[in-house]
Amino acid sequence: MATMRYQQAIRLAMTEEMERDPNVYILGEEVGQYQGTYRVTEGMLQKFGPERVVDTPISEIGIAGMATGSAMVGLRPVAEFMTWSFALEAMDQLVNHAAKITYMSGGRIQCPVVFRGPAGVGTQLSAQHSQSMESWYAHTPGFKVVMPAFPDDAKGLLKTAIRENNPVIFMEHAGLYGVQGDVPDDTEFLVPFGQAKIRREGTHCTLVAYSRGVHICLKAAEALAKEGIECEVVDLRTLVPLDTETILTSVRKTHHAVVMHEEWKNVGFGAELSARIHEGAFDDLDAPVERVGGADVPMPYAKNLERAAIPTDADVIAAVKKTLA
Amino acid sequence: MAEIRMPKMGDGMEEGTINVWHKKEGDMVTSGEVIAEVETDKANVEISAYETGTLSKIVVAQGQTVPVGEVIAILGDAAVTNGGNGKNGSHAVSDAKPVSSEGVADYSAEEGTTTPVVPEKAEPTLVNASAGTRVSGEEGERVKSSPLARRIAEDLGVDLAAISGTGPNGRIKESDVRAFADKGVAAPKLRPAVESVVSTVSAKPAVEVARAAAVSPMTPMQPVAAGEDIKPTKMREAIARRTVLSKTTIPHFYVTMIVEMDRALALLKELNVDATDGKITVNDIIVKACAVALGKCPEVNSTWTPEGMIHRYAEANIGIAVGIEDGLIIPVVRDCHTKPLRTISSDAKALIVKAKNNQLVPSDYSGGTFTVSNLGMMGADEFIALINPPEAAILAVGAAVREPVVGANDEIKIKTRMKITLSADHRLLDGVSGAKFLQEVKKGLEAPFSLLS
Amino acid sequence: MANTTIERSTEGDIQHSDLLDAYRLMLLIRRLEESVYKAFHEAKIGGYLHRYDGMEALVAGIIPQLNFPGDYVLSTYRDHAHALAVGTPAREIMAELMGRATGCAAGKGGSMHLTDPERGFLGGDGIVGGPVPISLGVGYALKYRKQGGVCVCYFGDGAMNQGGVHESLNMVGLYKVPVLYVLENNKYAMGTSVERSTSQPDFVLKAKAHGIDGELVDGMDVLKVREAASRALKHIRETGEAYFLEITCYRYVGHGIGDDNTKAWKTYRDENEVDEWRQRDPIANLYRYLEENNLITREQSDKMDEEIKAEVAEAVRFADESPEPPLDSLYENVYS
Repeated sequence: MATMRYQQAIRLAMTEEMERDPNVYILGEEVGQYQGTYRVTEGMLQKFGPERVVDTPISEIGIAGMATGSAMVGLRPVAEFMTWSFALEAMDQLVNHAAKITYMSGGRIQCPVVFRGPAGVGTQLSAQHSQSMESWYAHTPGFKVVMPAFPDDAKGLLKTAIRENNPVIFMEHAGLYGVQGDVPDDTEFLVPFGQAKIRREGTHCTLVAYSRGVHICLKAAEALAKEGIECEVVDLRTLVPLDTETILTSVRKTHHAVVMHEEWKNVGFGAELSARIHEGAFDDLDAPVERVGGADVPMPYAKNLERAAIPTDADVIAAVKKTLA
Repeated sequence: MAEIRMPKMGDGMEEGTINVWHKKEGDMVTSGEVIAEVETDKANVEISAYETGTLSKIVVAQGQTVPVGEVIAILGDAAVTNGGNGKNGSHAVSDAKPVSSEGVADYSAEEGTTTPVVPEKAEPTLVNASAGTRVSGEEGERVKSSPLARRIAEDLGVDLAAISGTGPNGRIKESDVRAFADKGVAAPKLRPAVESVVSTVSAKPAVEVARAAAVSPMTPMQPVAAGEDIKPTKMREAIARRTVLSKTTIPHFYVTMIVEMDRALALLKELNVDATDGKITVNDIIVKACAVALGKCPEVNSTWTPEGMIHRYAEANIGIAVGIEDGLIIPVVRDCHTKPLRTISSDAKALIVKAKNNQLVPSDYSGGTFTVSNLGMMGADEFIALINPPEAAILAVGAAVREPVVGANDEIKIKTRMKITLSADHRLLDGVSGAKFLQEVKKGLEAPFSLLS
Repeated sequence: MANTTIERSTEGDIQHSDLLDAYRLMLLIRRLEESVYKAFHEAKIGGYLHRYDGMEALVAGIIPQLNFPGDYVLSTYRDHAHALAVGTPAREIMAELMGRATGCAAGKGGSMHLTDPERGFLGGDGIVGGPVPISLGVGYALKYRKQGGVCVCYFGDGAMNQGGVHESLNMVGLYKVPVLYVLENNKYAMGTSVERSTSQPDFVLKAKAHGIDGELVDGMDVLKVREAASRALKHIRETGEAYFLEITCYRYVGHGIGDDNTKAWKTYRDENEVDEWRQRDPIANLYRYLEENNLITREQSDKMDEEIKAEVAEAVRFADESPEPPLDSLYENVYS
């Protein structure tokens, strides 16, 4: 067990998998010589050489196509988008190609590709660079969607993603790259998809979140505990496949739920979570499920406006109190 | 011979109309040659022959509309059909369906092509039995309650209509139901007098104090109900008539007595150990006790006739007040004086089920000689009931509550006690006879084995 | 437009049997395509339907020179010919068009997504320009593995105006990966002519701008296609670098069946133009060459044609009699 940052855990996962399987290679903008925009791939070019650590032009369609095409014939590419906002350029290759080729071919072609990079909001990057769009991918059949909140999960989930025979959308959070945590050294440390983790136990209200939202919910839960309200925090870890059972089990215990994410609230993933809870645990609910999400606006630049657009622990606390009212 | 069929000329095309036949019967047709023009919902399109031969028969005449796939003409082999084809004339199809040309692709599941899993056909059912949809007026005002509250209320046999919700918009929550069941009272409802004031007073039951203290309640305003006139239901009208009759024509007086229920409850528990067809309830044993007491106090089992006579009944037919959706109905368990407890219990059960399902017939609720009204399961400590005319009395039963009691030697004991109140017609009974009746009921319930004979 | 004269191969490595095979393949493509409209009109085929009539030489002159397994083919939604060329049985193609369980994509893909990876065919692609970024990846994988192999990527003149195509060609030129691009220049991007859609219609020049060498080829002459492809493939296999063939051709029918059903193709091209191109028919041209060189007789050709028609008829019968995909396959293959 070693203590390391989220960002280092991602690098460790890629390094271990590249050492294990010669079919794994990484590609993206400035992943090599520049050492990665967020230093996630630092040292990897020197370690693995330019054929396995491929610096690409600023061409997201090309990156997505290169990764998808090479996966279709057996390589296991890990393509980095400098941020997920830029992946919008490549949406046709992602949605119309990577996600569908297995189905369109009647199962005759596999597409073991990982698309990764930072998502999330904040730090005054404004409208085009500060957004979280996981529900776009979760909405599309064929993708698996992974959003780790802690360094150990970042490693274990990315290793699982690289060994997965389907396209994986692996969304990191730029705001979590510096988070420290214990990470197993084991090169076979794999975190399975579709298994949520209870990060904190509680009896009064279930908080469902992922990525940075988990940290926000934990903070809110801590504050609420001082008032005598015990929240159970469910860290989804993967949105697709979704561990509905863990969510429902918790809600059947607490009878109240707040779902939370940074992406826009309107038609956000929280709507799906809320629907699943209502479908699966209606008779256990003592109040409607509350949703906490980002303001439905393009991210503003001004600091005060940005702060108002991003959900906080205070929003979670208010939602918990509302559902318990 | 080849059949020429109405071709599908586009994704949504379901049918086509023959605008023009470019060929007539007997004409030679070569493969690829245009033979007709078809009108679809989108455009006029030409159709060509796929084979070479003689157009031996036109099946669908100009102007006719037929579905895709229908035979529109017959193409004969050139050599074979070259001869006898001139006399066929026009052959309009007689069964060509005139179909509206809405042009909308029909994605019905008729062929199972769009619906992968066809569930068992579920008949739509109107669910109105659940407490959540209970209506209290003809307009159908809904009792707001959380799904969990409804489930628990059903488990505990609590009527949601009797509970005041403390949740948003008066929604009944789990805590309200539990408080009601535990304490026999509804959690008090915050009713701020002024709409603009948000109350921060926690008025939650004790079990919820910890949570209530932690959560600043944001109970929304209960707006003063806007005035409206509601036409009463037939049942409401009947209740109004009969209660006015009772209260204005019968001189009521009241006697209350406390009954210790520990032994009766213990007996019920034993009796119910192996119950297969429904348990004997507290109310059943009270009815039985009343039947026995009525035998000993025949003056209670009587009526003041319109002619001013006193009529004593030969049988004890005991009514049971049952609260139902629109109000109240009193089905009657007949001949209680002759029936053992278990029979009274099963009769009562059947009547209550019929009452709740609106299946009672007049003979079920007429001919009563005495009535028992029990609000104990609703958490009422004690109450006073109105006599059900033309009977002489009614017994109001409160909740059985465990409480400290001072014993004969000044020791404190915990007893389960229940208050019963007799409302009696003073024309027929006096305080003493009323109390005597209650003593007999009490005696039966406190020595319950006497009721098993 | 004058008939194209077929000149004897300068390469000298083309076998007579190859030419007869090419002739047979082109005939098979033509007969299969001729059959699909009938099946569509009989409501046996749904969706979009794009035929290859007139363009057969682009497939017959190239794909038979590939080695499977090892090489790969990517194509557009006009993909029936490519599947036939790699060896996918006509019956599996017809079954796929009719949405049957026995189709080459198990009824999940349809006309635009014929697939046969075991024979090197990675599929048609319903998105204009879509296969080009994929070809970059396939080419990169071939380079990465260092085991040889070429990816042949077909796409149309319309695709050259898609952004992703240029991103990918730039990267192909940059990384030097073994892809043969075959630009099927049939003059029309759906219903818009090259003249009306493309500011610089010299597509080879555009490839060169991305560092990819290439040339212009007459696609009505299968021998010329074959020669050019032979040289191009040799170049790619030797250098590992991509090559670009812009092959002029003409589709006799509309862009898709809707275009033909409504005769909307008359809005963007003249019937005389179609007739002129038909005079240069690649199948007729090859027949003349074969006959002049005593490689085939009319009788032999007719017999071959009858066999092919029977094969197509058998494919239709097979597809017709094949079951639809089981309903419980709906959720299969979303994930591997």
